[in-house]
Amino acid sequence: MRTIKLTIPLLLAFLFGIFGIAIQYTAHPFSSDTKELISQWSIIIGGITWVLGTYSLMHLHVGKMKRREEGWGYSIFFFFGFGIVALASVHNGGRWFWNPNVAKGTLYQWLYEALFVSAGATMFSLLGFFIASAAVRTFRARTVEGTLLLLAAIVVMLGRVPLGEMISGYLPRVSDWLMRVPNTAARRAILLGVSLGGIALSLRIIFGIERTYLGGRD
Amino acid sequence: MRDFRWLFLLVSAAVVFALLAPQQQPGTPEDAVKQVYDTIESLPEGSAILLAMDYDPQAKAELEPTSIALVRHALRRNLRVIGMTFWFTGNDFANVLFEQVGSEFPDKVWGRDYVYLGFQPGGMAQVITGMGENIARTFPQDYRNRATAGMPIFQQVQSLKDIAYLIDLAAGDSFVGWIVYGGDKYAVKMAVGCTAVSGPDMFVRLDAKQINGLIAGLRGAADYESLIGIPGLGTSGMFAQSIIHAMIVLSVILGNGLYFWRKRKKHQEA
Repeated sequence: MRTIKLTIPLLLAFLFGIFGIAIQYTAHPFSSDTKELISQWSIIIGGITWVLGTYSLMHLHVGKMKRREEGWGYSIFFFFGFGIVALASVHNGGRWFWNPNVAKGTLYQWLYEALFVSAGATMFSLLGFFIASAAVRTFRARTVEGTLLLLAAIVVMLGRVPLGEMISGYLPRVSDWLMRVPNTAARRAILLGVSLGGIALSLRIIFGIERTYLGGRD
Repeated sequence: MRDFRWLFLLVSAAVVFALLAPQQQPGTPEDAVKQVYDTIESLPEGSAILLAMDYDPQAKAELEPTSIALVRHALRRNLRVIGMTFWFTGNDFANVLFEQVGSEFPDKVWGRDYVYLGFQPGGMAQVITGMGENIARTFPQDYRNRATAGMPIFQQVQSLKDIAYLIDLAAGDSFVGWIVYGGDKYAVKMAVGCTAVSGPDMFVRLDAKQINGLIAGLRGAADYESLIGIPGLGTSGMFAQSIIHAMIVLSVILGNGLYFWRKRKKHQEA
């Protein structure tokens, strides 16, 4: 049992990990053909995961409705929306789904443009209000650091729009310096730390040190 | 200032006013945007550029003006344009964009001068690696379900190695996948177009020369539109953005003024 649950998965992770690295760093035609084959497999498997994902989503909402969990009424809207969009996609403007996509004038296109795109844009535009209130609440000159942050925010906010250039030609330049020097320095440090952590974690998985992905304890 | 409804009302009124009465606000294009323009200008006619339209309706307002300007510029320069996406939810309007901009150039033909391939599942690493070996085999059909194998555009452009310039229009972190598996690995010159909020993340990439240009947010779109000389949604949106930025700055100053006034009053009372 230990062989099936532990030894074989660890061996597979090691072999495929080493194989994956090897084909990425070798220019032999075998590597090239294998990468293309893996890519095609991934696309097929990716397509299957959409079916699995749809089943999983339905299962989740059916469960919520059965148990009458808080907010279960929203699940009805999920099935309603899912059903309408699925039917519209299958109908494909009267040409049905096995024919090429009808790009204009179909119910699906109307649902996509009038509902989905508009609702998405509305959600994102709410960010403007959130940023306005967050800026007023957060940028307080309580401490030296807070004052520096406040000044930097004002310079960047004005330097990023033509109005800033109209106020002073220096504003965009200072804004650009803030973005390119202090901002880049901080982000580079974070990025290097995260990347080294990623490499270390990958090596731990390949060499069987990190085993939490197998479902058991470390 | 505890009740932010007044601020929200002011922001709404300012946006509506700015959009109803737009003013042209000339600004000097940023160097990172100019770099993208210069690169496209320097490419020989017939070269291929790949536009990864990795955004959804939420980022459409910011990234669509950039996408339109880039496709217009590339087709005007007689370059070949290939579009695709890793964001399924943006697949349909990306196709509409290609169709609309393509129709502005009657001499350009879908499948020969430009094509929109659509969405492909399977994960970024695998799909980009597949494109690095063969684009038409990774996308056997375009968005319109036409076979890509026979398309003239893919006679010249077989893999990522044949792409002269790759631009990822990213609402999320898709640019990382493109840099790692596309730009760096296949030595493809690369740029990124992103939302303003992601802009600060990109300067590290610019500095490391992983990308040679950056078009960030509506400001970047407006700069690009001014460079190609065709004002669009980016240019018209800059007035609204100027007003909102000024309003937020004034609100912050006012908030600080109130904070210090209250602090002083409290101090005097004590």
